[in-house]
Amino acid sequence: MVAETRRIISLWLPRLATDRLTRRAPLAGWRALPLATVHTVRGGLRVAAVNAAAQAAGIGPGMPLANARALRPDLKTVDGRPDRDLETLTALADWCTRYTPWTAVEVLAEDGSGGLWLDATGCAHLFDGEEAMLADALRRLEGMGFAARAGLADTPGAAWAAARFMAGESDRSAIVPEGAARQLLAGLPVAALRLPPTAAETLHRLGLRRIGDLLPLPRAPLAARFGDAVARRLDQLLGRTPEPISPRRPVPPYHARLSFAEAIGRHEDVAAGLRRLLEMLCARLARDRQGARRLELGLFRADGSVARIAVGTGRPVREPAHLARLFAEDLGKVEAGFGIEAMTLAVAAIGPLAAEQAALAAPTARRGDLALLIDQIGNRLGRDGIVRATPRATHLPERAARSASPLEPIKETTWPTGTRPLRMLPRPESVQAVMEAGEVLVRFRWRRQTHRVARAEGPERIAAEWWRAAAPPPPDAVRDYWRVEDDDGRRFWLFREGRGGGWYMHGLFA
Amino acid sequence: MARPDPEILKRLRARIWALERTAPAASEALSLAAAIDDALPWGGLPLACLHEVVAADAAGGGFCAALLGRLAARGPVLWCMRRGSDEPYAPGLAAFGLSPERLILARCDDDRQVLWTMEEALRCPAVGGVLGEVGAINLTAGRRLQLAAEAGGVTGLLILPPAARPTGAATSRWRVRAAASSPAPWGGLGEARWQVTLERCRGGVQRSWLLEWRHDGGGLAVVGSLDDGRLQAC
Repeated sequence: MVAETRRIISLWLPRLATDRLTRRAPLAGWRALPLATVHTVRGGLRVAAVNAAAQAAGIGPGMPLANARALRPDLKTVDGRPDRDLETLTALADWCTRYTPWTAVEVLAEDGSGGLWLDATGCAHLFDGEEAMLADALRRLEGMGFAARAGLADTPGAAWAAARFMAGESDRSAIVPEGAARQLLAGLPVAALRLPPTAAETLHRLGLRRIGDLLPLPRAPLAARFGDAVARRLDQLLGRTPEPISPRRPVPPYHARLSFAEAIGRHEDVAAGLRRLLEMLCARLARDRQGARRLELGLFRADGSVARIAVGTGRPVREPAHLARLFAEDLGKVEAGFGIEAMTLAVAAIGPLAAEQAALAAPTARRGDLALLIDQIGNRLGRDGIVRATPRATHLPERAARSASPLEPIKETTWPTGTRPLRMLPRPESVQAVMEAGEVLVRFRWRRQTHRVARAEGPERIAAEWWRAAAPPPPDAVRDYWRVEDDDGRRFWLFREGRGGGWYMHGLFA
Repeated sequence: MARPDPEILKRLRARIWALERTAPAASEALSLAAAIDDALPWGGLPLACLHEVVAADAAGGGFCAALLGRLAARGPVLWCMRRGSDEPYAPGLAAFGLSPERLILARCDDDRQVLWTMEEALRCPAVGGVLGEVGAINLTAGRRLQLAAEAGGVTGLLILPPAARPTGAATSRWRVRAAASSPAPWGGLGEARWQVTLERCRGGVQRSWLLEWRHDGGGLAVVGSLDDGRLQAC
């Protein structure tokens, strides 16, 4: 297989901070008015981020608010909230998973702009090509109230440069075709290299204004003269050095998506969409002899919000009907809002599942049903919420049963002998005991009730497991267990600690 | 009083069921003990429906564990309860004929989740039986369980505390409490005894028995009937 060239999208939201405020009520009316967010710098109020109208009036980030007001007395201001901006940017990164499961937040800049990375390798064909994919993303972002620019290239560096220096007001996306970065980006200013301001200034002073000016220079002197940053950024731009970026969410091994020409809202339609996604993924899992252990469904609403539903299975499964049932309940609760435009399904964890196993898994419909039931309950109660007891070699009664998954194969079935209670308390509970002659239990009080002992049987001495302890056990590390019946026939499993120690309730006989 | 002819009784019951439309969905029944089976119109505990057990103490759990042990032959059984309560203890289950391998424990956050889990399990024909323990239940929830049991063909047991108001939605209602055992000949504890009352059952009569659970494999044995509050030997 030929290694695919990576294709990276850089999305730039130059006015994230102000767009976030004016995209919906109550501030939607300020969209066309000069607007700035402000923050306090060394005791004085300064402009943090501006919208287009404010910028047109000559107001820019970092300007003292008083100066800005002098330029435009009608300037609207709002306190800057970088935390909210980052939340919005993160939500947008999540929203972008409709295009590719691999998305990441690049940066939230001080001037209120934000950047996102999308790895679109092998994704464009799903959207009728790269140009159509970028156009779709920009149109939808604009629909949500966010101004955006997009760059698409072989490397993050080239995509970043394209988004900020090639895309413009008229054409808001720029595509650098495969292998064309060197040629197309040579004309861009050196600032397109993501350099620290000091390095950019130095280059400028020396007359090195364009990326093309740097290209013919030998690499070693370049690094020696301007520091590592310039040479590294140049290498990253051209793909000579890889630039690792971690996706915000783990990239699933299997992923499928569906988009709808018209947003859907009826539960039956959503369920049918899920069914199609499951069939697509299960076919791929079957080819690789894998089964799903964890899946995540993403529902992309028309207003830009994303609903996600995750389910897990007790053993690898690739039966679409089984998996659909696990989603059914939560899917029924999802609010479609203005409609769902796209759905993605990711298999986040897998396990080997041979073809024969899949066939054997349901020799009768009954066995398959049980696995489904256990998965359904496990998704609601958690993994430790549905268990089966398996024996553990130990003398300690409270350790004798280990909780295992009900779908785990049974290896050991030998349980300790001896009369044991039907129920065990989560932990031994202290009881107030009254004894005769300091030995014979005659009465005890437990859970606010007094019981008179009618009959007792014991003791059964159970020693502490000294071989588990680091230090030798204390002399009272033995328990003397008694079966006790009270006047009404109720039966208890009590023990007395050590030699002449306190009494504890540990279990209930029926 | 002379014992009525069982054949006539059976025919009369069938006619009453037909009139009242209360005929049990499943004719299959679990035989408990001859004396109890006689009191139940189905000739035993009917399957594929819901039974309520009002438990005054731990004896109710024992009675239900014994029933689950029998139901486990049909498929794995579920025991649903709230987290942090006194859980069934695997090494003690075998004494009630319930193999721990056949028992699946569901730990729920609250009563609502117990009822949800029970309903899901009752609708699954692969399950042999479902036991749930809740603090309270209303009529609607009880009906849902009853319908789920009928739909899935699975038998449900619901353990309620004495304070809980019974729903009336179940096919039968039992009240179980511990009773003093008869001393073992060597001086220790004898076999466990329970006072079991059939409080309500469609087409049945209220009866009360003193039962003994024989750990040695004898199972449920009727020691006597307690119908007028007095013990009568059977």
